[in-house]
Amino acid sequence: MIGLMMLLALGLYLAISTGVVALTVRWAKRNSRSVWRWGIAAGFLMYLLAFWDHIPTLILYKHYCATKAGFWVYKTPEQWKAENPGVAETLTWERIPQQFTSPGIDRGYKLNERFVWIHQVSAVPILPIRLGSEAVVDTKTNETVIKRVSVRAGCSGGKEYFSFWLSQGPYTPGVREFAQYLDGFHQFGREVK
Amino acid sequence: MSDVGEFFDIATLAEASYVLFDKLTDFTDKKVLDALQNNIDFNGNFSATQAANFVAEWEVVSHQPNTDSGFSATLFKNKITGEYVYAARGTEPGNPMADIFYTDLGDIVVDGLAIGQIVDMYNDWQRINTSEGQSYQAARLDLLEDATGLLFAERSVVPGSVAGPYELSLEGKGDGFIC
Repeated sequence: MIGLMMLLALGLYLAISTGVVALTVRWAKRNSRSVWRWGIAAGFLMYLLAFWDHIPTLILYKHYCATKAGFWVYKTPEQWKAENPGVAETLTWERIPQQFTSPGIDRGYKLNERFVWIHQVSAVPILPIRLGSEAVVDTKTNETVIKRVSVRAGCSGGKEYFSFWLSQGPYTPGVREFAQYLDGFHQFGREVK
Repeated sequence: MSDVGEFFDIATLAEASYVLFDKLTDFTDKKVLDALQNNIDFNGNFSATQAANFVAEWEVVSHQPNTDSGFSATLFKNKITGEYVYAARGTEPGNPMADIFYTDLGDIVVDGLAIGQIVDMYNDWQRINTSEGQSYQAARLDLLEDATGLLFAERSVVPGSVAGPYELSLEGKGDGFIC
């Protein structure tokens, strides 16, 4: 149903835009102005009224995908175990890790006594683009062992239905690899039921 | 269960069906819990409390990501009662070509029903009800473009129904019927 409402709204917008362009062209003819120039200007103005942020959002989204997004492995679970002999065996983990929030961290999970999995979200001003950063951090040394940055364009919380043309992504690099390493750092030692 | 409780569950499951579960490597509680809250990567819109309550009660059994027609559904299982709920997505703003133009405009407005998504739902249901490693009968929708096909469709249509420009056939059987 919401899709049909969106189609109705689009149809109405298209009809109004066509009317505005037609009126502008008629005015240009009567006043001996360039019909093409005024018609295109009116059409472009009507386009910008609703879609002014479409092209900038698309360009910036592509730029962030190319320059900011990525998946980094600084240390694998095996390398960490080799550097910290005997420690992994002393750790305990739960199937559903405890969740927490703290300043600067939107969402975090305590994986075990040494590792946390943290999420941070940053938004671009004016344009609806968000960068999501998640990392697994060794809490004793404050060292990041794996990290991923994802990019998404578009509104959220229901507003996306009124600006669906802005929706791009999510661009999430290393989906399988990140999950594999995350499980590796989570499941050190003994499971606590 | 009270009506309010049932409506709450149905609304929650409908919301959860929009989560991009296909990007999860498995449906463990940890990953589902995070995906439900992770809007950037998984389209999740749950709060921490909502997600924790959901994971305590429901598990993801099967997920069909968006097909070409924009159909997507998830089968959930209640961990306490064993009840199954099959939740299908509605229109997704992030999938405008398939959902809004192909299905809403091309199918619902023009044909009167979302026939592409109905076929995909049938196939998903067949897949869910088939044991791993076994084959199942899937339906395929073909557009009848030549005059012979359309004439055949008009003649073989069931009395009282309307012949359309589509032929719906069950793959591998060859006993197609006209809708």
